[in-house]
Amino acid sequence: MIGKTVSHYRILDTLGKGGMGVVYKAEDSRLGRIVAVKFVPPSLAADRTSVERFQREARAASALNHPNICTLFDIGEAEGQPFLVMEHLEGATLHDRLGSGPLSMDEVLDLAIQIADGLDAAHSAGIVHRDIKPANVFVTTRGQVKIMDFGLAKVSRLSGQASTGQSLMATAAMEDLITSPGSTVGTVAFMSPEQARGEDIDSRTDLFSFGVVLYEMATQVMPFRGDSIALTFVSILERDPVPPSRHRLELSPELERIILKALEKNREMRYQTASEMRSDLKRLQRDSDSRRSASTVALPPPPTGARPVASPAATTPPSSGVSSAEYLVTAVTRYRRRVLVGAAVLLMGILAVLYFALREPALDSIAVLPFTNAGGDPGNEYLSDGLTESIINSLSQIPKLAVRSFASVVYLKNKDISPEEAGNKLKVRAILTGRVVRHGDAYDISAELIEVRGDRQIWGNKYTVKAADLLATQEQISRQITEKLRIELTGAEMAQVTRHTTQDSEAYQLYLQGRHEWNQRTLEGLQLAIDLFQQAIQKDPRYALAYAGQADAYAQLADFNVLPAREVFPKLREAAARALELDDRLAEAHTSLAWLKFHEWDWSGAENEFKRAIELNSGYPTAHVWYGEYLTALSRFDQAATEMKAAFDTSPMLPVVNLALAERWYYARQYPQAIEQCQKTLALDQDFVPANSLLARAYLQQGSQAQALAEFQKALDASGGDTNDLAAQGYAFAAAHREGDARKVLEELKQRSQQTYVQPLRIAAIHVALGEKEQALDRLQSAFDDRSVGLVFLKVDPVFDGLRGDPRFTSLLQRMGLQ
Amino acid sequence: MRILSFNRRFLIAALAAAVAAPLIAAEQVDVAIVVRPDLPIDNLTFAELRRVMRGDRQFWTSNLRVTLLVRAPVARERDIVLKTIYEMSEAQFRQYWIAKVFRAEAAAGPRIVYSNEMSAELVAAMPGAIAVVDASQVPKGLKVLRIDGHLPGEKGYPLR
Repeated sequence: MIGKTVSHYRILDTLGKGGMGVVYKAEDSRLGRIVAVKFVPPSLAADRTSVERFQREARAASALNHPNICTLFDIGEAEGQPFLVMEHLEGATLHDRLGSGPLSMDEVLDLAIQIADGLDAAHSAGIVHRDIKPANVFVTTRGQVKIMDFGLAKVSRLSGQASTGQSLMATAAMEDLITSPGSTVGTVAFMSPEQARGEDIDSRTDLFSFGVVLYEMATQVMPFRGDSIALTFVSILERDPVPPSRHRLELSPELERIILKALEKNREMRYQTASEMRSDLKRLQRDSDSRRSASTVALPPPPTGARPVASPAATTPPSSGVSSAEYLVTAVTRYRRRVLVGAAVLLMGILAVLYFALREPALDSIAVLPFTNAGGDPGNEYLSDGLTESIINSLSQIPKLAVRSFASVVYLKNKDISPEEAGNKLKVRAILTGRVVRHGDAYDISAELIEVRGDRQIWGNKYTVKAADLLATQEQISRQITEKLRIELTGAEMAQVTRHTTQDSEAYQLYLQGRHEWNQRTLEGLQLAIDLFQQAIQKDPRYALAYAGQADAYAQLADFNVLPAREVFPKLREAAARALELDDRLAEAHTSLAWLKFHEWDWSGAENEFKRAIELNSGYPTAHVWYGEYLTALSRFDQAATEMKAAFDTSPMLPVVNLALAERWYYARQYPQAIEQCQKTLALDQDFVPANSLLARAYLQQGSQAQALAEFQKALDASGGDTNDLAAQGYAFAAAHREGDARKVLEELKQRSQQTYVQPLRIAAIHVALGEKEQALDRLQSAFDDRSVGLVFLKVDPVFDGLRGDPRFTSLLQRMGLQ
Repeated sequence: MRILSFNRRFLIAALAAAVAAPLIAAEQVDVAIVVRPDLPIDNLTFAELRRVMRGDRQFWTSNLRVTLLVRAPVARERDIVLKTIYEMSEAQFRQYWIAKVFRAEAAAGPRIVYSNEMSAELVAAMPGAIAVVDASQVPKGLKVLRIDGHLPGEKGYPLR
């Protein structure tokens, strides 16, 4: 088989063989991914019942789409040999994992929660596994659980209770078949009492088996043992298990309670649902976190009479030597006709399940709340924020999904707010929460997707990864969320969601740190961001996003008047162009380039780039805000309002977006609205200094000089003596007829200009307010020469109204293409 | 008359200074410029110190690069450096260094240190490092530079 191509799967290697098939590693030549292909052995392929069983497995598995369930991609038949195509997993089965040594209590809880999650998904879809055992639980190298082999699954009622009633007669017949004497299924030692008795079974059977698995995970000892199948049955049916804490002294009383509750012989006394069991496990995990002990205490020797189960051989049903699958095949062969009827009913059941599942509307809006840096180490903030932002960026690629921007959710960081409340506040239908904890060189990342209506968890997962796997984890979370949001995507759209632009994990982390610093919007953050983006580029010179970040940082340099814009622009252009050269579908890079063209007064070029950026990612608020500013500068206020609203819809809580709305009101000369909007912005973030500054300008234009001066002073104090704020204060003094104070500021600016850059546009404003037109126009000429960023608003800025009509001013507007 | 007036003002100022001096001495110790003992410099003019601290002079000798260590914001040592050497506000100081690095006039801005102990450790470990520490906490093993021929605490010392 090795080397052959079946359909479009090239067989590469053998992964394993079992009673019901041979599994191969293969390459999907269409999608270029590695998959696992499972074939019915030729001896069984001739048997129609085996084939039907195979197909039944496919149908059952295909109804399930969950990160803790092995995903089925395809089903096919080649030369009479049916096969399944599943995701290829790297790691080991839990059976093998247990054979290599005891699990720490943290691992036990982590894996158990994931198993419970997978079972919950299956049971919610009306599917019972019936054969939960460590050999059917795969643990990937990243610590992710995948429940495998739903080949023994059956479709039961949606309630998960025992199948009864006329309409399900055929299903019941199928159950009779499967569980009739002599055809018991499931590995004996993991069977539930009702399964052992051959009674009706339901989802609670899986919970019993899960209890057995959990017992073994915690203690490495099987709770029910016997030297023969019969004796094992006796143990399951009649004997209470030894309390697990006798095998492992440090086992918590709560975990013991959970295990014993799962192992209740009477299913009415047992956990009723997997979600209930998962909640208990999660609560225990949360409580354990606070008193976490890193060390794993060695197991004490087993008590007399107990047989430690440490080797793979020991987990096999003693002396049976016959797999559950083989029991099934035998039974199926005997009752072929009834199988066909049952299969038909099963198919109808699956279709019904799918109908109800698909009937739910897609969750078309989502907010990813800032991941919690659970370890509390400030050095990891960039990672929790960065992961959040990366996931937001990935999800923003989905055309049918409204995603709140990072900046609009960041104010909820570390806030004690329920998902429902956050969802209502942010006006979204789904909320993703998460946390990151660092343990040495590994990270525990957990994420939970909650439907706001009903406060219902629809997905959750936990990952333990090394730094090198962070990228893949982010991609995985994005993909899984996309699936859970019930949004149909084309292959290209999904590829866009999960794409990343570097394979270098260090570069990715440096980029995340850079974005984190850039988002601070402070000079200190800017200084660090530039350095970090540069380091990311050094690590991966083909990392487009890092160049886009660098371009954004340079744009901020010009915007903050750290340097004359004419000095910054060449490097900005170079960075943006490089980003686009590497990836011309990067909305961030188009936005940076658009910003540059806007401030170089290439009006049509800027508009094209803004439109392209928005076309590529309509959820990127910076593109809308900057495009809105562009339209404002050209007096296209109505269109500007549309763009600002688009940004606001994406990021209603983002101060920059709120301020952009105020800015439009201000330039449209609607000062009361501008003042109100500035106040709203400050209510969101009282330390957002640009809002103080714009509020002051609006007060001034409205004639409220005292309030204006107070706000200018606040801005100056808060910024640590920023030159722009000092100049703005000077303008206010002049406008308030405090000429002496205004001239002192002019002198101070003159002094400062000997050491650091002072934007001439700001000085021009003071001269205008002092009535010194010629000096003002001289300064405006200098601003023109410097390509001062603020000049783009010259046409609409009320500050320069005193110069309108002056030929030099008109000439300036003409040369900028504004008149 | 002008002399008398000057003398009177001088006397008043002297008296005020005498009363305030112990308080000032108790709360505001001079800051010291420290380097490794093997640095072949013992004295800098204030103008030269400014050139070094502002990144205009980047080498002590042809093969020994200057490494600047500056305390993080809020520290008194930083305030004195910004006020007396840079003559800049906090925002200006940041603006200055971002621009300098962007223009490739310096390879990097000053390294930020968070305590006098950290300053001392780094100076001891890094040839060419220079830091500003509280003069009352100069650790053993470091050399305190004279500025315009003065040591901290001496009359005419400019860094206080």
